Amino acid sequence: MKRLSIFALVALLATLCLGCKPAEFETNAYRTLVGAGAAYDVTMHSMADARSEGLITAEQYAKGKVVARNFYALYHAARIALEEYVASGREATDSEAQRERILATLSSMALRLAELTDYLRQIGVPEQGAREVQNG
Amino acid sequence: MGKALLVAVLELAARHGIPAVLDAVNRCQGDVTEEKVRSLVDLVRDPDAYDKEA
Repeated sequence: MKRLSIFALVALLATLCLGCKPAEFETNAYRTLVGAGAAYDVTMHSMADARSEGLITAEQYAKGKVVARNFYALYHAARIALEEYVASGREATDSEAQRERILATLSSMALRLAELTDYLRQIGVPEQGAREVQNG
Repeated sequence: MGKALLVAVLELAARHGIPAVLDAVNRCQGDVTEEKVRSLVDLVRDPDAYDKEA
């Protein structure tokens, strides 16, 4: 038996996106946002399902939402920063600083997503798209 | 791992429908534009938006 992590979904989406444009900074940042956003949505559905099925308490659900809110804020901060970067053009004089800001925000965002999935695993929320599967 | 990924995509499709999978793939097609980045606002909903399902 092999447990399939929620991040397999992100990996899957990244794999599906391999046919996209060559790896440029904004393309990679954009793909990261798409993958993380999809993983977050699936994770939040799992948590809501667990609550409706009585698998977690209202307190655990509320705490999960606090963690989710951290991700939510960073996701939109990264999205806005990337939008400004694309609008200003790659040749802008402050583009290096913008890239660093986007990378830092994306890194923090990824950590918050990992924190959210770790917390849900800790309280026993079954991962959506992460059933135990027979491997071979 | 190939089998596991297949299960993941089938569950994603079952949960959110084939359009959800295609949407994620479609978002990655073509150049990254201001408009495309702005459209990502709809991808991530506020945590409270999931309450009605709980």
